[in-house]
Amino acid sequence: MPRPFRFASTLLPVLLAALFWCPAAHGMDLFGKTGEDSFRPRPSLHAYTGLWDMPNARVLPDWEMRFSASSSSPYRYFGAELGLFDRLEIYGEMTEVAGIEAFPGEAFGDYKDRLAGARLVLAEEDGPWPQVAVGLHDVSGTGLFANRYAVLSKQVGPADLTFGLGQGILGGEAVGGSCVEEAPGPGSAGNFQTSTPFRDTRAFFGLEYEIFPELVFAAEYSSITADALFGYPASDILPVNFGLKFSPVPAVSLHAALMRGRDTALGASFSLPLEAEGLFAWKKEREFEVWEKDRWEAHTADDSGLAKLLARKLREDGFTRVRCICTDSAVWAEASNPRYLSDARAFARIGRILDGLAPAHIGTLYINLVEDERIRQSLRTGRGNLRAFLDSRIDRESFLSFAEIELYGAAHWEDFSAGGIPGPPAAPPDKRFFWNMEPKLRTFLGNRSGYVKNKALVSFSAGYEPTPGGLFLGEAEAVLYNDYGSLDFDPLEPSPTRTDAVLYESGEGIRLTQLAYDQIFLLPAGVSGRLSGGYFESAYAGVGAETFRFFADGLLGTGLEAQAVRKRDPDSQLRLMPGESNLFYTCFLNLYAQLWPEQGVDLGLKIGRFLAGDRGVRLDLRRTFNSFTIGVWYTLTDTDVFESAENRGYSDKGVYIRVPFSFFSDREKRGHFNYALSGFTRDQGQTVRQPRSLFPVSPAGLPPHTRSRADDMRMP
Amino acid sequence: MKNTLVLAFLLLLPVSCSPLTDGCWTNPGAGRAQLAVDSADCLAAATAAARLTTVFGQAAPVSARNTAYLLCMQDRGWAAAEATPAPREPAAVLHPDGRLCGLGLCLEAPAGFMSPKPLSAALPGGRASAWLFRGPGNAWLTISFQKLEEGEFRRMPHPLSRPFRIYARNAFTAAGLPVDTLLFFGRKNGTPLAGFSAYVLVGDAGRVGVTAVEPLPSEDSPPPGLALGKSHKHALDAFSGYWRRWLSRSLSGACSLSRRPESGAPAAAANTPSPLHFSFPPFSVAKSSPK
Repeated sequence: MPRPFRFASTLLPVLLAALFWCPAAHGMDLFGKTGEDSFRPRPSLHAYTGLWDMPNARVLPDWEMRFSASSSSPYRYFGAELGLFDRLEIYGEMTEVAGIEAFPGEAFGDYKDRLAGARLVLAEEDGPWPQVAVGLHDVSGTGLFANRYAVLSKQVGPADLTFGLGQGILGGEAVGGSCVEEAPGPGSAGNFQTSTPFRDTRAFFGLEYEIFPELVFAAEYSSITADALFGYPASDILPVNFGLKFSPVPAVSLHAALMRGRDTALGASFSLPLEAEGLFAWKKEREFEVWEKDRWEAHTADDSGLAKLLARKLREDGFTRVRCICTDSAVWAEASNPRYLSDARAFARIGRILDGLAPAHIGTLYINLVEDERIRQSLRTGRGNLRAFLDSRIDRESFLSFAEIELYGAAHWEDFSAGGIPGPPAAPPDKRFFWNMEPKLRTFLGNRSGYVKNKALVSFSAGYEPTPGGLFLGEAEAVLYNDYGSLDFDPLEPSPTRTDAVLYESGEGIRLTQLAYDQIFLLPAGVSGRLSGGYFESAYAGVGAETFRFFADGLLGTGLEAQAVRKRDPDSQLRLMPGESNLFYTCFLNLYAQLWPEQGVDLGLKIGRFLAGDRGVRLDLRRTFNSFTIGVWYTLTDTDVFESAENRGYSDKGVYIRVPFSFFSDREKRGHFNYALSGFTRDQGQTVRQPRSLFPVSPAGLPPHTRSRADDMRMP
Repeated sequence: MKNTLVLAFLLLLPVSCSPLTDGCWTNPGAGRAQLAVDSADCLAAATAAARLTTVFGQAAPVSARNTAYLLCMQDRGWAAAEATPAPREPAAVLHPDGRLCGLGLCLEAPAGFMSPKPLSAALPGGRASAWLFRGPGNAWLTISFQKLEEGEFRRMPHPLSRPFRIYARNAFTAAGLPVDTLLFFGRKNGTPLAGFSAYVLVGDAGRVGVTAVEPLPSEDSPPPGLALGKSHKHALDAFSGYWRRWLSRSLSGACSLSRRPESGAPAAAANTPSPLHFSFPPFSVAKSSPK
């Protein structure tokens, strides 16, 4: 039996002494150094910012992530949260409840509940006025821990005071569905979160007190009652929680608390700003060296010779798809950017090369970045304007007032070729073959046969580009470790689209996962087209087609997409499954819009027929900032086509993150790792992977994004 | 967190380097603990200072860091203990017939380059030998051999800094050895100069450095937007070709090099009146020339 009050009687005098002797009030840290006011949002035991169990009105800074793990018997919390716009905090959490077996006799272990929540700051702290926030916790699913609240926080000297009103479990009310004996009813959380505000409401309050900036004492009066706490084994609890939070370095927080007068809580969290220059400081890029010999060659060359020289130099510098044309007064240069995360940086590098080598009579530079086999963005600038901006003699606004960044570059080409059709472009050859090898780890979460099932493999891929825009792509996976075979996961439909995944993922050895040809081409009216055929993924082979075009400076876009595929035989590398039931097709209208270009927020809609024949829409909302993309998808379709109750009424949803390679590197690299986490594996709302896609996955590479990041051009 | 790790590393470093802490420093008024603190502080300061001396600021060169570290420790009252250096084999030797032999190679200066003078050539963590030759028309040549005891040389472009400018770089293989060359030009004390530098990697831990400099012919007006006049450009092209051929042949005939280079002195060597008022230490014309 715990003895909470003995522990408390020992700890409290120490804490009170610490409060009276308060270096933080004098602006000192643990090492006696003074600094600016450094009160910052600190983690609770949960995935959100707060005291211990209680939330406060603080949120993580914009585009900062925090990962946390903590234990407060009988609960263990694992979570991730994200700060947005300094106003919003969103998070996901997995709560494990010790002592409650979810599937008796199975290897699943203790009961685990996944939840998501969000907090919105309505008013920031200002003078005497506190910060005001509202929040929703556990917004979908079982709702076992569902609550909602309004909360105020006010900093007074070294203390941050919090007062709030809560409902749901914060109001002492259990609102979730039964979860152990019966299957939890989806919608319990949703029903609560959309219910009338006139229901049981309780107050909570507390404070965080900075003894040092690195050490904080936090205490709260909790409005949670034992009866409302799912899985809590006792009823006589003290509604007070207190303890210490220690940050040895700003990114790390370690905390210990006494909860409910009887339970010891321990936790740790790690936070990091989402910036492409992440774990390692980037090495400075070597400046482009202008050789006098090349300048002489440029000086004596005719237009064709100059174009060849510039194209050769761009190719040697690492750019691909290079084409250059020169006239008496201007240079037209096209290149694909395989080097830089930021297209603005690619513009700058190409600009420095052209400006460094071109003779004095060249006054205008047309720099065009190629993507999906066509010019995506075109920059027209005078050399003096570009040089002045790169040398920081003028600011971004001044530079852009004399330079133009245009979608597709058609108007710039008209301008460049106004004096007559220039000669043929100089186009040095590119490497046509490439290959890659990378380790991968796939994880199946939440199966009753075991909560975590892993598959480790090495993926080999190789590509060959026989024609402009054409690509042969092959990919094979060599399995190193696989416990997908022990999954208790049967197909839900007679003709499943995804719930037969175990058939394709449980094998050992090597599996051919892609062998396809993909051709991108230009259609009339500036529309891009793509055709593909072959083995697209482990489960499907067939043909696909897609068109897409951006409008309105890249703020909008639309396209069509369709695939007709057949199931592959899971026991054969090349054989296809016969029969009508193994034939699937999709057909979509794709829509794209940049909702908030300055902040990198964009939206993709996929409207049409999904693999199983279910018609509906997939919404993909995401933000791309500092080269990271975080997004959510939600697929709402007519599920009457399904027989299984688990597919009927289900909406496929999930979150994903694109992490730039550069985050793990000591230099800037183009490319991203992609991680996605979906709610459940179902047959609803499914699509087929394609070798390439014209439908954008972020606003990067479009003029509004590049303009807003133009200062990247001056990065060293 | 990164700072913490770096701090922990720096605190541990002096403790783990016992030869440095125990055997190399003396200070009657201080003990081992103070030595560890001073050493860590100085190492951090020296690393930061050395970083400033690099071309791109990306890495701390060992030589610069060691120099700064020694000065810092001396400032704090520490004196380097007397040590008797073990006699070490030079990286290369000058034979009576004029050949320089080391790293398994023998090189011979081109005709007209004579009076080799040994240069002081220290290489932290290794051995180095270098000679300076004076050639016709106030041309200068340095040849140096470097051998690392630990670690290896990386292939890298030859550094250059002001007042010199790059004319061109080149990379090629001669006798199976990777060669990186730099052709540069500039003006020193009013005299226009042409220069050729090369690194030849010999195995992982050996490197031969060659730098040749000579005055360019009389003044030449460059076209608008360019830095070199036409005659200077042609002189540089000829200069480059000559030294590249010499290096290729020297390496190809290494260790039995008896052939002389093709007839003809370095470009414009015959009528260059201006003497050079500075000397070139091995490897880095650019870094030392402002002295």
